[in-house]
Parts: sequence; structure tokens; C-alpha cells
Amino acid sequence: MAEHVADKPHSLTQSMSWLHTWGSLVCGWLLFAIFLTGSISVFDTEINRWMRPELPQASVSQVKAAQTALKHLSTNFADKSNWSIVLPTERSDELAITAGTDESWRAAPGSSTRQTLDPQTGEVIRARETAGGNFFFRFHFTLHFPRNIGIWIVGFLGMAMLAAIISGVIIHKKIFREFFTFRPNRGQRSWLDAHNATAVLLLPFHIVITYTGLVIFMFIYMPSARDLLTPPEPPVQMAQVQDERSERPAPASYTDIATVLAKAEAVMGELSGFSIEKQGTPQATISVRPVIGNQIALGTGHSVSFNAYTGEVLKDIVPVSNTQLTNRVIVGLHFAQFGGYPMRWLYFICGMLSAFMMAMGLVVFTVKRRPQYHKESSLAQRLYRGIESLNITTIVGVSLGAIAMLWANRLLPVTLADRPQMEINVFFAAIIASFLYSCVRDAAKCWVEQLWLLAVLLILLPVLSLITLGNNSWHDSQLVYLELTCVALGLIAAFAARQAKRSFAATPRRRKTV
Amino acid sequence: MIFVTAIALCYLAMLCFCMAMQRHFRQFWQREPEPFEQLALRVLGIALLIPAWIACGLGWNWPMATIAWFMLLALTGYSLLLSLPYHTRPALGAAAIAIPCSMVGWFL
Repeated sequence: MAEHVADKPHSLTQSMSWLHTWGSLVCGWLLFAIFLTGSISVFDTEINRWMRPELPQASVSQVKAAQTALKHLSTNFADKSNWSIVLPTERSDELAITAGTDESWRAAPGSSTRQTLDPQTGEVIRARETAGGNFFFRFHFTLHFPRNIGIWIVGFLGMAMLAAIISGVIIHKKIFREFFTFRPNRGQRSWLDAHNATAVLLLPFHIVITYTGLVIFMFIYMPSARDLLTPPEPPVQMAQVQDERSERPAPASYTDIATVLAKAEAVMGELSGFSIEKQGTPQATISVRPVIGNQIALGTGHSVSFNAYTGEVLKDIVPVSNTQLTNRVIVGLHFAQFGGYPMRWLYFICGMLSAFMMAMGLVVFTVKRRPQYHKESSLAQRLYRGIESLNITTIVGVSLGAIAMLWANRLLPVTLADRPQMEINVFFAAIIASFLYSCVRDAAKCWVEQLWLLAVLLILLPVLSLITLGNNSWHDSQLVYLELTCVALGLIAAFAARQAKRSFAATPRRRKTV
Repeated sequence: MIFVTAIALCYLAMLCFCMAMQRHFRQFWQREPEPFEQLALRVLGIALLIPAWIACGLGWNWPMATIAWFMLLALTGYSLLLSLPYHTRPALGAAAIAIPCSMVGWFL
């Protein structure tokens, strides 16, 4: 890194090197958490599933599940004007219904009645309340701040990431010659090599993910263009709902849901659910929604609407303009809902490696300066101590928080009040504990101990399931896969712990300088 | 099964590119590479990239296949990056598995 010499003009490489080093340090802690939780949320539905093991494995077709749900709704919620059904899909076995009136639909979520049903029998299942994989998804783009504030903060960090990528490329000019350079066992040089090599190999992934991530909320960050081009719409008057209860035809006279779903599937691909608006009135309509990952372009908002009594198509999918399609493809590349499980795994592994790349960068910062700590002023030494602490907290602590949440899901009593919030509290408590521990313990020992703790928690997850759930632990293959993945990650963490112990134990003399 | 073929072909392509580098050629063959050998390995690597992309295309549709192809190249390259500086044997072992995998998947 360039020494700051006041009277000498900096070359581009030197300036970029300064920017990359300090900008990445300050933003890297939170960016690591963003990338880690983002990678985890690739499997958010599967984590939801794992966190609610009471749900049975669905072995019925979507049509049968739809019929079961409709029967339950017409028996118990015939007077509600809005029904929504979430069908079992490839990723999720859950059959869920929500029933409410127009007012409760527009009000806060939770004011309508939501139930999970057994797709075979139609009986209501009480699964434990959990923050689920959705917590990781929301944390990824809000860092658990209130939604808009969090989106702005993450957006700022995303821009910082772009700056880090570009400055990194400028510094690393010999990008093609040193494409595969990794020289192990050379201390600081090896860390730098590993950081560079990981960053270079995953460069397309980083650029795409960071850029597409920023595009998702671009109208929040830069609303002016759209506001200038599109005049604001006048407030919509809500039409008075005609009270036609006296003429309400029985819900049983709705058209056959099988034909409706078949027609919708022919147009949109795999379906995720449907809803019935103005239920119980002659204007009842069925809107069917697709799974949002049937193509790269994100399919949120797509639906086909049918007349609920005749099954005739009222509104087909609207072909989107090229501009909208471009936007949806760019956003879809980030959301990674397409391509089935193989693609999902590719995104997960690449995302985890990106987070690892950032972790290595943070470590490079401290490893490079450790030999010189004793020469620094006492303020600088305290700052470096703080940086070492924050490194441990973000890299190992946030990971500990994630796995601690899974442990909490199994250990907290099922009937606990406000259970989702308690799980989230455990997540943050683990991070705070990691930070406090790193403040009082020597960095070398702290790294090793926290990595071992992480490894143990990951590897013992199946044992935890067995103890808390008994025979019911692995009735669904998704539960098995999740736990196997955790064990594999735990083995990696154990390997890291062992390597950390070795490299800290090695004498400083062994480390050659650049 | 076509996914395994795609992974195998990407891996073999990246192995060719690695071997074309002086440092890794020395590891495998214990001598300096001739310029034409480096060129031949690079050409072979590029040639393997095309069936790799086609294999991806058979598993997904073409746009998704291109995205997956990029990611597979990065990941297989990364696996070589982490293993070759230490030993060549895991890389060769993986190649021994990859060669039949790259051919079988087309028929299954």
C-alpha cells in the first residue's frame, strides 16, 4: 500500500489502492453480512421448511391441494370476500390459506386469518411460529433496519462495493497473467494471492450481483427520472362494494378449479397459488399466480384472471414492454429464482465464495499490519485492536448468529409467545456475544475458539434435530439436505479453525514479506 | 446427468488452461513448456468450452445455460486454484473421473 507522501502526486494505482484498502475495510464488515445472508436466502424457502418441521411432506398434486383448500374455505370462511391459497410447489410443501375482508386485506398483514392445511385431509396444522428463512432475506437488503432506511444503507454499501470492485481491478492490472496465481504458505502474500484469485475468478459474478442488486431499488435511489416522465397518478377512489349478500350464489357453484389451473399453467408454467376476489358475489374472479422463477425475468405481479363461475379468461398475462422486460431480467438475475435447484446451488456456492473473498480481504488488512503493531502509537494500536475485533465479529460472529438461530428454532419452546422475535434476538445476541468475547480475548485465540464453536454448532445440527424431534427429524428430504449442507459447512469451519491455529502458532520469522 | 457432463467439461477446459501456464506445466511434466505446447493446450481448452456450453444448454434453456456456464467455469477454476499449488494428484484424479463423465452424459 502506498505511503501517504504529501508532496508527491499519486499514480492512479496508488489512489485506487488507498481507496480499495480503506473503503473496503469500512464497508467490508457489513458487506460480508449482506453477502452471507444473501447466499443463505437463496434457500429461504427450504430454511422455512426446516424451521417448521411439523409440516407434512406434501405428496398430492396441486389440483388436489387446491380442492382441499377450497373445501375448507367454503366450509369455514364462506362470508369472507377475499380468499388466497398458496399451493405446494417444487420447493415448498406448504398448503396455506388466507381469508379476509377487503378492509383487512388492505390493512397490515396478519389482520386476515392465515392457516396451514394438510393437503390430504384439509385439517388445520399448527406448526411452530418462526422467523424462518425470510429473516435472512429481509436482513440481506435492510440489515434489520426499518425498511426504507435499511434499503438506503444497503444501497450505499452496494455502491461502495462497485467502487471496491473497480478499484480492485485497476490495482490488479496483471489480471490475466496472474489469473491463477496462488502461492501458499507464504503468510501475508498467500492471503493476498487467495483474495485476488477468488475475486478475479468470481469477477463476473460480483459485478452482476452488485449491479443488479442496486437496480432492484433504483426507483428509490434515483426517482427523479421516472417522476419527471410519468405524472403522479390521482388517488384512486375505492369503489363502494355492492352489498349483494342476499343474492349470493353458493361457493360450491364455482367452476372446476382443475380446468382453471390447467389453463393457467399452460400459459405461465408452474403455479404458486391463486386467490378469489369478491368471493361470494357474482363478480367473483380467480387470479392465478405463477412461481416467480419460470424464466430469468422475475415474474412477480404476473397473473391470469378467470371468471369464478364460468372459468372464462378475464385477463390474460399482459405482455410486458421491452423496457419492463429488461428491468425484470436484470432484477431476476439477482433474485436467482430461475433454473431449478442446480442453478440455486451455483448461486449459493458463488455467493458464499464471494463472502469468503471479502473475509480474506479483511484478514489481509490485519495480517499485513500485525508485524508492525508494536511500532504504532497507542491510539493506532487501539484502533487496530478494534479492527481485529470487528473482523472476528463480522466474519465468525454473524455466521454464529445464523447457526444459533437454527439452534434456537429447535430449542425454544414451541408455544413460546412472540417466538419469531425470540429467534431474531438469539441471532443478535450471538453477534454481540462474539463481539464482547473478541474484545477481551487475544485475537489469535479468539479466532480459533470462535471458529471451533461455529464448526461444532454446524456439525452437531443433525444431532440436535434428533434429540428435539426424535423420529420426526428427517421425514422430508429437504430437512436432510439442509442438515447435510450445514455439516459440510461445519467441516470447512473446522478446517479453517485448524489452519488458523497452525498459522498463529508459526513463528513470525516464517512469514516472508512481499 | 447432463449437469455432471457440463461440470466435467468445464473442469477439463480449466485444467487445460492451467496446464498451459508455465508454473503448472512444470508441475505436471517436470520441464519447461514449448510455445506450441502452450498454444495447443490453450486451443484444446477453448475447444472444450464449446461442448461445455452446449451441455449447459441441454440442462437449462440457452440464457440460463450461459449464466450457469460462467459460474461453472469460475467454480471449477477455483477448485484447481486451491488444489494445484499443493499437489497435482487430486487434479489428475478429478480429471480421470471427469473424462468419462464428460462423454457419458450425452447419452443418458
